[in-house]
Amino acid sequence: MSIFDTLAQKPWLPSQEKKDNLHTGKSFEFDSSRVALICFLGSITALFSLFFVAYVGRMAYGDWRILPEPPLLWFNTAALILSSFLFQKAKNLSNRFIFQSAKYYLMAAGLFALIFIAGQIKVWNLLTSYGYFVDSNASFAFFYMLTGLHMVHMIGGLVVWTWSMTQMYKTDLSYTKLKSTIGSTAIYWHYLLVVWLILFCLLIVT
Amino acid sequence: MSDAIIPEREVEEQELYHAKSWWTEKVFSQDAKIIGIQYFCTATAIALIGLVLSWFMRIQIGFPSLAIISEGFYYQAITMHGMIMVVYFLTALFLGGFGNYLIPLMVGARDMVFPYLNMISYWTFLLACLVLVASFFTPGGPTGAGWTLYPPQAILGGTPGQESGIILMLVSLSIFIVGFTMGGLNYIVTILQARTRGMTLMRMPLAIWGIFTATVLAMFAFPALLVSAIMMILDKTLMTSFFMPALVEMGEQLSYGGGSPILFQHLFWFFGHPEVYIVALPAFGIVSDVLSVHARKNIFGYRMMVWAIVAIGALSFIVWAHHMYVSGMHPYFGFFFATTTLIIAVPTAIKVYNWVLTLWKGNISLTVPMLFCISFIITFLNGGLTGLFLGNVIVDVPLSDTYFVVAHFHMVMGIAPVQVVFAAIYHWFPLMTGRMYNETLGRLHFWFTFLGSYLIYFPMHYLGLIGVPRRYYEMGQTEALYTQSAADLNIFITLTALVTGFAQIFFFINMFWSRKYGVPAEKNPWQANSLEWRTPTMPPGHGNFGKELPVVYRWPYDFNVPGAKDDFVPQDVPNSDVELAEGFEGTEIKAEKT
Repeated sequence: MSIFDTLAQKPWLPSQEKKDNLHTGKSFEFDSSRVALICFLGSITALFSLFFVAYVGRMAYGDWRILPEPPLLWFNTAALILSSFLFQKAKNLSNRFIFQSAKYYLMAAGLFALIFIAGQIKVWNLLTSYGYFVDSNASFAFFYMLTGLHMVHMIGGLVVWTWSMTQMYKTDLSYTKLKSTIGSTAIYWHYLLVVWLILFCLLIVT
Repeated sequence: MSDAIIPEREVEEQELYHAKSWWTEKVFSQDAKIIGIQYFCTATAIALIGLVLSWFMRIQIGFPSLAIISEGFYYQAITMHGMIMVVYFLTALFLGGFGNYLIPLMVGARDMVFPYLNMISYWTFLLACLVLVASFFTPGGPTGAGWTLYPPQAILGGTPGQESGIILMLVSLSIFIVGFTMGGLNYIVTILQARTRGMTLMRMPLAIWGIFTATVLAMFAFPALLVSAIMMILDKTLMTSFFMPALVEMGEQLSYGGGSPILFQHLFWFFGHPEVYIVALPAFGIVSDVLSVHARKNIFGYRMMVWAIVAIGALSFIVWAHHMYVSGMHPYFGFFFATTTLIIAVPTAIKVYNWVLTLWKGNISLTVPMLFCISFIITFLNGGLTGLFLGNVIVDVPLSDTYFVVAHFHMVMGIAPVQVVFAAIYHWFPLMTGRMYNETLGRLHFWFTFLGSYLIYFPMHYLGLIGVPRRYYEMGQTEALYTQSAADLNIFITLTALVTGFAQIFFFINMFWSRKYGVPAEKNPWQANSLEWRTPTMPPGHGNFGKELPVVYRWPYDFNVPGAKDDFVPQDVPNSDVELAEGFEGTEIKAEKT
């Protein structure tokens, strides 16, 4: 039922009452943590969109300098894509409750994410060694800030990843909860990949 | 019989966390009701700081010769008063306080969906408050940049609190946003996913609709504040130039260059305007419910009320630049924002009409909550109408930065929501404590608050119209510009503000005294229909409802249903169980016409 149909209901009418009495109380079929994740991603989307708008808005001013793109960024991007791919694999396996194999994919996904973060820090090192500091120009400031924020979100994901990994080694683990957590974290992982790709495109284009 | 069909339970019975010690029961509680009350207390405590700051300002404005505070402190008081009242008091109180207390009870859930996250949300909020208050004790004191924190002046020398106050303010706001996001996810998901059987979205009380829509707004608006806070922190600490243009300070060229202060204004008001509705929408919802109960009538135009809440929420994102007319903008830009601002008056007016029409021919009992609701309508109408003036570019430009604006926003988003807060607290006090408040003290509190606040803000419109500017520490020798009556009026406003502020003592005495010694409240003392009054014990225990969650058979506004003996039919009573009035035996209420 669409939101417009819902909003058009007249709950006081006896005919509508009969229909409403059969309502189960849930708005969405999938579980609550998934709904929370979607809302959370909506909020982060607002956050990153506003940063991107600010980025484009600030670009229009005359002092904007073009940022160099160290080739390492391509390597990092590849690592993140691989990480996302492996996470998806882990998710597919855990959906079928094959946790023994899922464990290795999950571990590899986390490792590649760590490689990405290490790579990003290396990029920061490279840039500062070239003399591109955070206060040198707004374009550099944006680069450091946005990559930093992206990393903070990655680290947040890694906290959940660590929890999932420790669960894997428990004897009395709740499989359904683990499956749902891995599923949600995978979505979050893909989401952060998309954010990074947009950010990366923005850097290349400008 | 149709009522006998109860849908299978799909909302799983929630595994509740049961506290094992006094600490986890009373302090680090995961029970939404306790968390709600913790939010109430913290928000009220910080509001008292905001109130005292306003007294300092008023005494300075009314009696400048006393010079009780310095120029610097005057600006610090303005800034902290504004930010505290808008964000740390009203937002936290409506969403954190009423959201936590009412959502699970009103939708028929045992608790929030993520109780642990909910608890962390409160403690994060408390941390944000402590960081904010800490700025009073740092060198240079809190920031005096004005509550809008406009750069470049917010982080430059000469602005009070430039040393560390501004950083603490921005950090505190960031912490607040993180904490709010955790709470907000809870409110949204609980409303969407944890309603009890039979509780469709369109059977929810309007209070829940208001809180829900406001939370959605906040989830999209607070990121804008976070973005501007992060960028300004970097401008201040790492000398980046997001918002800072090239500047010369004390004859010295600063290292900033090329930044755009206007960019900050856009980001800030993209948060700032929805923020008005983040505060107002829960107030709209709560006032609708309280009015309906105390007028013994269904809310007039329920569907229209829901649509208006949603429409106002959506429109609130495309009006922000009406706060920036004096910053200068393309005339078409101003035209666009003036138009959207005037459009938002349409759903708002629908709401006001519907409240009045709910009262029309109602069986009104002038209880304290009802009195506060009526005074809310009057105050809100006044503040809303002056909003129409200020929404027009050509009227706003001369009135901007005068007391007219101060009068407008205090009426519309200061006094009006606070009156709803009082209405709501008096209305739900029996539920929260199991005792009734003292009626005499309540009435005294009402009349002092309503008349007092009206006498404070109504004259300010006149001050604004003759051009008295806001944010001035003192007017100096200005007889040539303003008449003596402007100064006299300022004295009057100051005295009224002091009296009205002190009169809040009636409220606090009432709350503390009645909580312990008030007359024990009977169950459902207002004879309301919504589920929060249908708990087995009052105040509701851990898990809210008894062994079984209630099942909902109707919307919450079935007052004076033809054929029913009582003038109210609670939401969890099926038609077949409704006691019938004389002469209606053998029938069923709301039977469909054949």
